[in-house]
Amino acid sequence: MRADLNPLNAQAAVKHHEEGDGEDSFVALIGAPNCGKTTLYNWLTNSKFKTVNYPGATVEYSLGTLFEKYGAAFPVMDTPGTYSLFPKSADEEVTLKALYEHPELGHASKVIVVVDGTQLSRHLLLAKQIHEAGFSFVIALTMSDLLKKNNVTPHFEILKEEFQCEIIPIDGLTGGGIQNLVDALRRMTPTQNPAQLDPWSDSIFGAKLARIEFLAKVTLGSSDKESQLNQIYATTAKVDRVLLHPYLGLVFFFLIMGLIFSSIFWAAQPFMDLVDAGFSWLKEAVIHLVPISLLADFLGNGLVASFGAVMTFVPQIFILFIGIGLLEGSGYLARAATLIDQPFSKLGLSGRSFVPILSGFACAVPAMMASRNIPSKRDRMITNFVIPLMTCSARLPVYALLLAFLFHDQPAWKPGLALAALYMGSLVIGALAAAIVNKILTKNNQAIFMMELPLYRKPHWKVLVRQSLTRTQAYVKRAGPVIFVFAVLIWVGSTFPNYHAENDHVKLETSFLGQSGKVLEPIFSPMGVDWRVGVGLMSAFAAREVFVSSMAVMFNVTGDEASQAQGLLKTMSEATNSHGERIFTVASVIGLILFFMIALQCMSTFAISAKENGSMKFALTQLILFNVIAYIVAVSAVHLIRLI
Amino acid sequence: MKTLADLINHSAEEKYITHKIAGFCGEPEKVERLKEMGLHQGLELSFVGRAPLKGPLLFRFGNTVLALRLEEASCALI
Repeated sequence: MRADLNPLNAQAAVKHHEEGDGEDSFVALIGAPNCGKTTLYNWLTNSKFKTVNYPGATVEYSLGTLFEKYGAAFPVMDTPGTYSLFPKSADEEVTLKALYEHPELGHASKVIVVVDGTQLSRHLLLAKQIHEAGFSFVIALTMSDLLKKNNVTPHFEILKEEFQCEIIPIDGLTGGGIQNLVDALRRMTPTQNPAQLDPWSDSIFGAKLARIEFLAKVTLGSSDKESQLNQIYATTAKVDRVLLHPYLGLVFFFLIMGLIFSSIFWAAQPFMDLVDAGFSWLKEAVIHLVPISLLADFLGNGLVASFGAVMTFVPQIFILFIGIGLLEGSGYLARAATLIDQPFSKLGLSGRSFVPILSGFACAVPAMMASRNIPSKRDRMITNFVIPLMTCSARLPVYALLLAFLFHDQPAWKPGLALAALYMGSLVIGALAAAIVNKILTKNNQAIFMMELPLYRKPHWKVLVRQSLTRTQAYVKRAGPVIFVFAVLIWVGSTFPNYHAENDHVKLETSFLGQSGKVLEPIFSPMGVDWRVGVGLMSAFAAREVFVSSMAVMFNVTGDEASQAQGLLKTMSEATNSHGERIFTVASVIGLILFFMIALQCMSTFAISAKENGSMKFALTQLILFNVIAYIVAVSAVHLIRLI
Repeated sequence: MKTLADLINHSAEEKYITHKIAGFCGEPEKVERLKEMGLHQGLELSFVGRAPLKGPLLFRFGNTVLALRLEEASCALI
């Protein structure tokens, strides 16, 4: 009997571990993308973990504690997917750093290398590197249920011999094997001093790969077994024949994307209305509860309303993450990226830019966070550059108001069509911007696409929901404070110094914001609007949709929500500037729409852009460039339309 | 010497023909990533087609399908 399987020895090892000092360190999960790592992590931690920012970097990893039912408690870390210990992207670099030199936790004391049982010949490379680096590790073999279904019984002796570690098969759907994995971890002695690997030369790399392929062959048994293994691929091949078909593939791509994209709106709307109504109620309640008027105003219109502005978009973001999670979990995402790679590469992007750009239609903040797995710095930069141009959901209320004005009393399909055109338009502007940046930036040949198309799989719902919740939480934590602070600042600017004015309209007119609007009127008047719209545009820097509510205040519209919208439209159509000219004409409204399409007004986008790209210069360039161009385009459009 | 990229004109009937990787050439970073994705000298793989819109080339070995851009595929000799 092998020593590590002897129950007495095992108990002694556990005792040794408990007495020893390994408490402050952690167990790290590492594995290739799509290997089933996240599912395993959810089982280990019972889906209770928090996503933390890696110190000094923008990449996140998850940290949790082992689920108590497994009879031990130690920190478990999930790391971004990686193929090897020689990193190629920002994500992979973090995995490496977290393993060796986490600033707060030190190096990983034990490592779980997650290996997909159907991809043995490739995923064992990482195990080999971890072994050579001297980590104390165990191999968790996922997809073992798939192997069993196809009558493949792997033999682990040769792997145990080679790597001097235990190999535990895991069933991702039922959680089978997790207890064995935990027991194995408890038997292991913590890693002492892991060594940094020197890059492998060509010949060494080749030799190691050949060895790994040999190991994989022996593990899976005769070549007969291997052909059984190929059966697993058969279903995927059938589906791919349709989804990657030269023509049908495109049809399905647009259908699937259309479904996911439209669900961001129809599925989220009831929840958004609910959140909105909840905060409106809370705001009123707070205002009536607190007797001191200024404090009530601050709490209600400042704090609660600002917090509400952040939370309204959460349902949309959550549904977006569910959609992306479904694409990821089923295996289609890699196909979608492959499909879009060719047109994107013309713009200096790659298929990997696809998810970030799609996410940009909900919000630029999670979109930029999603760009981290783009290996090429250049590709990533161009992607992040154009993301703020996508029609994010905060633009929607603004477009709704302006289009309602343009298409007043006309059949609903007209503004609907115009809205669709605005969405397509943002893609065109984005493509244009990408093409220009692509021309300006120095070319390099570092761009790597290389995508593994995983086997199609049924998504695991519990993991999907949990993962989307964590991602949404990360979004709220990231974007929330910035939106909140700016919303409060805008409240202060629009409330003081004349906070006891007889009504909101006078208060805003005499406020700091109102005063600066008047001073800056010469800037806004070429757009065909007066200082009041200028104030609305400035307040939109808290969040674009604030434009709508400040318009209502600026044009002195009161009443409940439904009549407010009608009232606002009516007031807008009658509003005149100091010379008695109409402010809202077809020309000026189209100018405003164009301005909103291009301008970067969102301060949380600015903040995240500076962080994600590690460059204030980059974010400032975006901020200034997009706003100046938006202004020029809007002014030219207004004057052009007036000429016609 | 032929590379994986030269398989581009192969028709659908030929997709069950396997090709052996003979070596690598071109940019070290691409070559290293190809190896990490599982390509190595002597590996037998087949060309299964091309993604729509004249996109990346699809290669299969075992249960793995890799999508490679033309210039990535040209780093692997066959």
